[in-house]
This record gives sequence, C-alpha cells and structure tokens, in this order.
Amino acid sequence: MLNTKFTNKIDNQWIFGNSDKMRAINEIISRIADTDVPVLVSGENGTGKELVANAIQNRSLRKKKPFVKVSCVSIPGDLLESELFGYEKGAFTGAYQSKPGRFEFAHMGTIFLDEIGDMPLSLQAKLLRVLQEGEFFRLGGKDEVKVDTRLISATNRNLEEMVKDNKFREDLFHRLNVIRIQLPPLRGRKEEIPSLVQYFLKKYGKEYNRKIESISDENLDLLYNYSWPGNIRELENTIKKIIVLGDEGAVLKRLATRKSIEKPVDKPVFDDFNGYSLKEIGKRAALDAEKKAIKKVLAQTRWNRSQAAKILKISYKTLLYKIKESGLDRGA
Amino acid sequence: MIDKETNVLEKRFFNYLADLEIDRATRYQNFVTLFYLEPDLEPDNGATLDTLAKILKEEFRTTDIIGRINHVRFGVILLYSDLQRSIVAGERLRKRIEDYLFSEKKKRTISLGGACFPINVTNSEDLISLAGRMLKLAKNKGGNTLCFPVKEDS
Repeated sequence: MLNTKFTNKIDNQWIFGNSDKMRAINEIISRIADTDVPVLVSGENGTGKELVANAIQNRSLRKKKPFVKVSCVSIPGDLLESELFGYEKGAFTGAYQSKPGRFEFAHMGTIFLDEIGDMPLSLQAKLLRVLQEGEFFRLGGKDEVKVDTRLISATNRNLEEMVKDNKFREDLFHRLNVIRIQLPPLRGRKEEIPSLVQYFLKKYGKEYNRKIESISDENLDLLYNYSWPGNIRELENTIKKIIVLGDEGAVLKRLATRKSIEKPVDKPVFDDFNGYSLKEIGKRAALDAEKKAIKKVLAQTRWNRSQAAKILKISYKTLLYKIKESGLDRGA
Repeated sequence: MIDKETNVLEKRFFNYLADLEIDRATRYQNFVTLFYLEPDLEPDNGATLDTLAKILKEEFRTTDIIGRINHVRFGVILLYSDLQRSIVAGERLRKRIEDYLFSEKKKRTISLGGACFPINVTNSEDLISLAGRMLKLAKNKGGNTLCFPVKEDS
C-alpha cells in the first residue's frame, strides 16, 4: 500500500516532463487545481490522463477528501447507471437492498470519470443534471440525493466529432469542457524521451533489482525515432522489458521492425476509425452499402418505391423505413 | 480484544473494524451506520452495563459490530444499513431500553447518536466525529433521544 502511494507520488511529478508543452500543462494544472471547475483531459492512450487527474486532486483544496475513480468503459452501460447513482431496494429484480452510488462516495471530494466518451447517451442526461444541480435520484428512489463533487473527466475519443454525430450530448460536452487539458502524444514531444528512459531505467532497475545504467546512443536513437503509438505507457513497458530481459539489443530490434506499422506523425489522431468499435464500424459499413443499393434501385425505378421494394426483395414498409433512416430523398 | 466487563469489543478493535468496514463499503458500495450510545444516568454498577451490552447483542444482527468506547459509551456498527433503516433500528433500541426493567426493577434510558456512510460523511474520521456530535446533541436535548444528521448538516 505504502509502496504504491510512494511511486504514485513520483509519477505525479514525472508526467510533467521537460518539454515546453508539458511545462505549460503543469502550469495550467497548478492554476486550476484549487478551483472547482470541471476539467476534461483528453489525449491518446498512455499519455497519462489519469496522472493528470491525480495531480489535480493532489493540488486541490479537496486533497484530503475522497477521490473516486470510475472507468465508464469497464462497466456495461446498464450497470453504469446503478454504479454511479446507486439504487433503492426493490428498484429492479435482484435489488434486495439499497446501494449508494459512486457519486455519494465522492461527496465533498472529486470524481474522475475515465473514458467518458463511452458513456451511453441516456446516462449523459442524468450526469448533466448532477453537474448542473448537484443532485440526482438513486434508481427507483424518491428522495433527491445532493452531492458536492468536482468532476474530472477523461477520454481518448474526439468528443467534438461525437457531438456532431449525435453520439455525445452537446450540452454535457460544454459542461465538461470548461477547462480542457489536451495531452500531446509522445511522438509530439520527443525531447522528453531520453529523460523518461533514464527515469524508467532507474525506477524499474530498483524494482526488479537489476541495474542498467544507461542505453547506448545508437539504441537511444532507435527509441527516439520510433513513433510510440502507445505513448509513455509503451515506452515504460519497453524499458521494463529491457531491464527484465537484460538484452536491450533484442528488444529494440523488434521495436525497429515494428516501425513499418507506425502511424504517420502528422496524421490526425482520431482520423483512422473515428474511435468507433469494430461492431459500429461494421454496422456503419452495412448501412452505407444498403444506402447505395437503395439509391441505385430508386434511380432505376424513378422513385417508384413499391417496384423498388420488389427488386430489393424487402417489404414496402421496410423500404420506406430504410429510406427515412438513410436520409435519402428524391432530390439527392 | 474483548472487554472483560461487558463481553463486547474493546475500543481499539472496534475502531480498527470501523476503518475496515468503511474501506469495504467504499469498495463494494454499501452503507455503513455508526451509533454511539450512553445511559442517561451514570450506571450504579457493572451489572447495568453488562445488561445493556446483552440487549445490544440481542437487538442487532449477529454480523453487526458492537464495542465499548469508554466507561459508559458503546458503539455499534450497522453494516449494509442506510439512514432510514438505521433510524428505525435505533428507535427500536431506545424504546426497548426505556421499557426494560433492569436489576432491582429500575428503569433506565439511553441517548443515541449516529451517522451514516456515505450519506452523511465520506470517510471514517468524519463518521466517528459526527456520530459523537450527534450523541452529544441527543444528551443536550435531555436524554432518551435518538439524533441523526439530516443531509444538509453534514
């Protein structure tokens, strides 16, 4: 217990590396920590979003109050509501006794909602109410529960895009986005790599009881030039591997071969698949294909929909629904 | 570990378990209520306290934790018990003791103060201090009373 606390403390100092970008972020955190404004931390996986949240909490006036972390992605959507807001006895089958929500545990303190982009829309409305009024109902509850919590949220998704696609409530987005801390990916602050490498070497050398003083310049170049899609976490694990295996050459050689799959440095972060899950991608592709087919057949039949339905081998009603769903109209 | 006079937990172990239960409740999202109670009149002998401890053991669930805090004060930790249920349980205890005939057919009353986690407070130190304050309030109100904070007071 003590040990993890200690390392957390070091890590907290360490996320604010020696690049200008991170120094600026450090400055922002210091400035906002003692206020109660909501903070939205965004950045790729492994850039240290949770560490920023920890740092804000540690420097805030709520330092000694509870700090509750909830990962919205690790809990299924339906359960997330009862997890966050609790429920009353008898609210649903199996609710044999009341359960307080995570928000209640964070009263007077801070709640950290990780991966908030994965929160279902229905819950977003409820969250909005907590943010606005500081109150909510437990599931099946009659009495309002009042809470005073500071909200820090984090996501690796592009919330602006999600708002455009109606996947994230705009009003909630503006509520969360009072202070935005955008963590740059490691490939955007490569000057930090050498000192990070030194830091992790020291840290894990001690932890695993294997001393490696430094890494050769040639290999450091390799580390420097790699694109680090997994960011600091990937770097950390690579160093861990080097220490445990004691063979920097072999580990780095493998890293070098992986360069072929590296993301181009200046490619926008969210462009590749918009952060959708594989299932969603499939669904979207299917919808897209359907839309194209319907459009083509409708053009053939000059928008005679019953004829088109026959050609497509679906019922007239289904066709009408599909046309409406895919937003096709005669002019298009 | 066990108080010899009353056969309930000593303060040290009671407080240790209180901390543990708060941790557990935080992790598994449960309610925990802490009661403090004291007889309104100084008990004239150990037998009174012994009887009181016996009533406590009967009145609460076997899984609830009962401890002796000081010469006259007892503490009870009700697990999985939210504010409303705890108030019902506390009131039932107060009534039962009011009606109980102690040795030499004497009647006695108690004052109770309590607080519920996480409804009133969100850590164990606050829980202990708030329950203590509530007990003091109950005594100041003239005894034979049960005091719980309403949410706004916390």
